[in-house]
Amino acid sequence: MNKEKIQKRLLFIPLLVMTSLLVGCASSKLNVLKPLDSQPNTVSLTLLDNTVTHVSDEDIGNFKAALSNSLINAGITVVSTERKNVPAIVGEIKEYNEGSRSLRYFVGFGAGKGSMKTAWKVIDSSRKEVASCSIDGSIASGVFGGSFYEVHDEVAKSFIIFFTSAKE
Amino acid sequence: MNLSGRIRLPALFPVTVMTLVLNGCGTVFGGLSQDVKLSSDPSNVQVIDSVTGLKYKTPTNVSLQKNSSHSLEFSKEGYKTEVVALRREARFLWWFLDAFSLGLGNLIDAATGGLFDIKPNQVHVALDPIKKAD
Repeated sequence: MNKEKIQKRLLFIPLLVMTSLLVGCASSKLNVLKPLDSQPNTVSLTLLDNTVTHVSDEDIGNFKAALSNSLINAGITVVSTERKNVPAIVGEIKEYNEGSRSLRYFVGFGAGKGSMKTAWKVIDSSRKEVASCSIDGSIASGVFGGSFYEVHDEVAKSFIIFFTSAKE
Repeated sequence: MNLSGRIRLPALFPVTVMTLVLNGCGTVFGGLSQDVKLSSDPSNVQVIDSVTGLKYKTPTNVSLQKNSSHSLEFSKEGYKTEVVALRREARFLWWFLDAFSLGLGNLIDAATGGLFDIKPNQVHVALDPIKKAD
């Protein structure tokens, strides 16, 4: 094999590395159980930790912030739960496993994979459940192993898809 | 000058220039601090950065140094305190360009914080009231 051919083949190595870094980052899967009929413009947000191994306050705070940001960016106002006359979004974290960023980075091939399972309900101002869905998120790789907080962002994005795709 | 019979001095010139230009490009172009928008419901909530100790009142825009992590504690009397940890994510573009400086740029950008982006760049917190039973 001549040098030119070797040089051309070597060019594929950085491309392969770049592709492997970009593909397979955090992802989420939305399963709509009961679609939303009409999208409210103002909501309150409650997040419940129903995991066996409890989620830290910082992780809960970050997840709520990711959801609030996504809702605000979609033009929805997020208010305190003390306002009883607004629809409520109630999220439940069922499973939460951050995995290992080091293993994702140094080993890869699914090692250190992190995942979370969540369930969501939208409750209207008369305290009646009007919509529900479940969202599962996971991360198997990413830039420098990928932060698990990217899963928070992906789950929040999926929730916005569910919340903003009302029938009306 | 002839190195290995192939690399000539003029050919090294752009490589040298590129190495110098890309040294710490994240610091030069990305900056050492980043603006983060803080808001809350109710408003006028006290925010303490538990890492730096700095205090703010919502709503506000704060400029946070990128060379350290930040954890923001939102508190107001009668409401549950909420903590939001801001994360520092290495921007792949800076890391990739810095690699042309044979790692020196990566070290400079990592030390100054220029390599990183603070995420999220806006934080909205809706505080829950403390119930009497709590």
